[in-house]
Amino acid sequence: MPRVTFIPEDVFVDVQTGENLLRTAMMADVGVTATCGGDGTCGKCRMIVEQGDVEAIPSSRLTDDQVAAGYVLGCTTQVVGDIVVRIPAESRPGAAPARAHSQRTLAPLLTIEEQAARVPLDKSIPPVLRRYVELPRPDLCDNADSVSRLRQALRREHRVRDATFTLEAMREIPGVVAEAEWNVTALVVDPIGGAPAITRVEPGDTTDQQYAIAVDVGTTSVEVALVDLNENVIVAQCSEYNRQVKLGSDVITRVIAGSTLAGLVELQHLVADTITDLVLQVCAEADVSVPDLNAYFVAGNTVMTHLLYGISPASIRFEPYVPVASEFPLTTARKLGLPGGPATQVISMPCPASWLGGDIVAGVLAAGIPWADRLTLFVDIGTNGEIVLANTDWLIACSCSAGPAFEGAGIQHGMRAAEGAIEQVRIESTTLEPAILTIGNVKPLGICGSGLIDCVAELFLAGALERNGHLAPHTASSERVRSGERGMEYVLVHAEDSGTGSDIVLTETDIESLMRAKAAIHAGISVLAECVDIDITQVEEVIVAGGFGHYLDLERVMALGMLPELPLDRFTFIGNSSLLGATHAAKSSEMLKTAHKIAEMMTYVELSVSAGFMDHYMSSLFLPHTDLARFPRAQQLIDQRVVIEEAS
Amino acid sequence: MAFQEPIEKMSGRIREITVGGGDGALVIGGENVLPFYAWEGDMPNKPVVAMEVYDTTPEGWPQPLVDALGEVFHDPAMWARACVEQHGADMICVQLASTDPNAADTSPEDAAGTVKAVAAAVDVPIIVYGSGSTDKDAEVLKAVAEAMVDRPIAMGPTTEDNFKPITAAALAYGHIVVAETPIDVNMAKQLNILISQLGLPPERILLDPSTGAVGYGIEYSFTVSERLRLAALGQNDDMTQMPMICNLGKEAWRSKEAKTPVDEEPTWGDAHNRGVLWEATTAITMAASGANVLVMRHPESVALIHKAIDGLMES
Repeated sequence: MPRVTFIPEDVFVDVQTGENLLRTAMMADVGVTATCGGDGTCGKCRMIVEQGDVEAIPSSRLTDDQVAAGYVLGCTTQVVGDIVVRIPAESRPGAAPARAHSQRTLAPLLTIEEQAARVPLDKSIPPVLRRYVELPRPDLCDNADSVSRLRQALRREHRVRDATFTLEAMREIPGVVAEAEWNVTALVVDPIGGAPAITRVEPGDTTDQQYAIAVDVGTTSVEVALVDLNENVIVAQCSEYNRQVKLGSDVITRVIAGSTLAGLVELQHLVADTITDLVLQVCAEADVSVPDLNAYFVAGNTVMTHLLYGISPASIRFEPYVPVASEFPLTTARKLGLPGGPATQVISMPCPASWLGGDIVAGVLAAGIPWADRLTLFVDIGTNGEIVLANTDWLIACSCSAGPAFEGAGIQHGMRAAEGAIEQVRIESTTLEPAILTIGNVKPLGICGSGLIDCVAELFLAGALERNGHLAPHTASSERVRSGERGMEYVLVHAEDSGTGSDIVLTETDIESLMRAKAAIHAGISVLAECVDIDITQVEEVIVAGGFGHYLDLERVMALGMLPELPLDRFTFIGNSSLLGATHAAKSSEMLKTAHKIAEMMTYVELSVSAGFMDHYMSSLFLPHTDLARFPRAQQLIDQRVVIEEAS
Repeated sequence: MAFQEPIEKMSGRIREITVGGGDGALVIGGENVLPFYAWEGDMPNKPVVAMEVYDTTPEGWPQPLVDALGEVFHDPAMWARACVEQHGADMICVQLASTDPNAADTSPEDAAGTVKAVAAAVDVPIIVYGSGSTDKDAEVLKAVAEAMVDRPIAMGPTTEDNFKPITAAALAYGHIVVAETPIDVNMAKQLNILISQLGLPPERILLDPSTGAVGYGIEYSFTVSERLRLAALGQNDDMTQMPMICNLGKEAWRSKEAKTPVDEEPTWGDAHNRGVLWEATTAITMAASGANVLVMRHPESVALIHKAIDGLMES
């Protein structure tokens, strides 16, 4: 990996080839001015490449003399090899701090290869797969019926034993064998437990087109991936807010809305419509025919899964909080209002408990916990924060309500982690001037979850926030802080720099939402550790999942007090693990079996009846925590800044 | 081998702080043991009683209180003097109830005058409580702090919503703040951190964790106070080592068991003893949970508590 060293700080980071230079500077915690989100228009992030080569897009913001002297704009420059970069004084929001020669380590989103490497290589076939067979023609000596003939051929050639046929598939047989002269393809569905079923028969060899849809149905966001089952890769992927949001942003209001028949029907339609649009989009993108889709693999929390199947989740809300089902029957996409052919199947991840759903089962699978011989803490950060503490022998899990803040919802200028979302923020301590970078390097449109975490953590480390999350009185003199409709607010982007034409601000209410969310997560972790009497420092790996952007700055996450302070190299940021787990299940029947095993093994801790949860929550509702001794590094980071301020 | 009583050694100590000024100054706190656990460590200063004085004639108070103190109700200075000279109050707690915007809404200047008059009448340390109205208390306590610049007082309640102006006034005029939180260990600690961050030394913070009376959730307040002490002593938690004050007089006398006259509930027995015992039981419970200052009302319950504390300190 190329190594980028910044001077005069003398800090270096190792990044992927092709990484954006401005982003690299942010990762290294080097102060650079940047107001346009990285689209090259503000021309403020000037840097001088003193050693090594970069790929830079020429900019009208730089004079010929500057270009000759090695000047580039960080945001339009890519790192291609080891380089040494000087940040000139005019690009700095404040004085250059004196720092010792040091490396900053990061936790970028795992690459596709790294994600795949977390689970063992597996040769088993997808649970729903088209199999091609050439049948012997019947004659007077061999007069077995067509179904037996097909069953035999499938067993002989593909080891599919005791296949059963659906009525629809049988009805197709005469036409198909006549058309294709006994060369046919059968869609074989091999569910967990029970005989494989043949649900469709097609003329000729259609096995060159085998696709499945993996779906993560979240309370706030829905994400789908189109999986090529022949090549074992994701060929297209996209996400959108769950349209059910219009009937309530949190799970409980959805449960209430879904308690009447009319509400249930509406919620089912809304989520099916959301998925439909996304599926049509990915299929169009990859030029895949929708009726030929093999199957859907759905991972969603228990309430979302119930709603997708049109099953009332009402009982979840009342003591003793039990759902209708934890496993869901095999059904077809058409029955759920999803696009596909008549035989396109829908398979769901099992939901072990009311507040512990298939998304977490899929996440634990994707994280490779069943195969990792170490104490692992898995944290899925979404509208509900689910936490699993596990090793290969046991799994204990809980779920806490974090609210939609991490997904950019319920935040004044929040948005999903999509193009234009501010995902990285650095704030200079003395002037409170921010440097921002957006997903896709375009003008900023709003703040996504990782940007929100970054921004609040930066404000806190810069001394602009009090420990209770209020803007400190001295910030009132900053031109970035003002009184808005909802109390005090921090102006992250001025209207002239934003893609929306108006200011992008962070309000005290937004900060409060984030504080509550992070407190719930930290409290959940504390309760689980207490349950199994484990000191949190014994955890060997922390896997963070969630629909954030490409980067989650773990040092910032810890400075907020959301996750326990542990050495940075113990953290892994896996991304949307629910979708990833559903993808694994689509590709391999072994993985689907393992998912069911995970669900059976999981012990669920109900936080609503946990005596300690509220207490932990209150102590976490502070920056970084009421017990400051548990966050020595956050204090160090604050002290560092203070030293810098005094020096400058 | 002879039997040795097991001794639990605490790693922390409650801060020893001086309340009041001049000859009447009193030192409280300083213990490195749970309350009255004399065999495990030392408790150099015994819990004290601050008797309440209201800035206006109280209305609707139960007869036992009127019988004992009715003659001085009209004059806070006389009331304070009676408490100290006749009833042995260690401190005086001035309750500025009339400043409440929903009551008489008296001005901060009037309140400052009342406090000054009380201070002139007695030498003992003065604690001043506002009405509990967040914004008004900030104004009132600022005026009081300024008027009392020559004689340090403790003032409150300071809450998360008004700690900034009140702490600023305490910093400027050399007073102690009383940090009040709603019966929650974490919130108590958080408020202490917030106040300390404004630059007020921890030696100038008194902790009021709030309380209920016997029969009104005192078990919960007891546990919270005790947990605060365990954190301070057992975990040496710096931000919980402030002495605790317990504003219990008003809670005890608000309960129907303390205030109902005997003709309304003949089976409950003599109203006078009932009221006095209700307050005294509440007070001794809170003393046992770790309170260093007990804010009380009735002279007879004060006498009982003094006797009980002396007994506990001797044993």
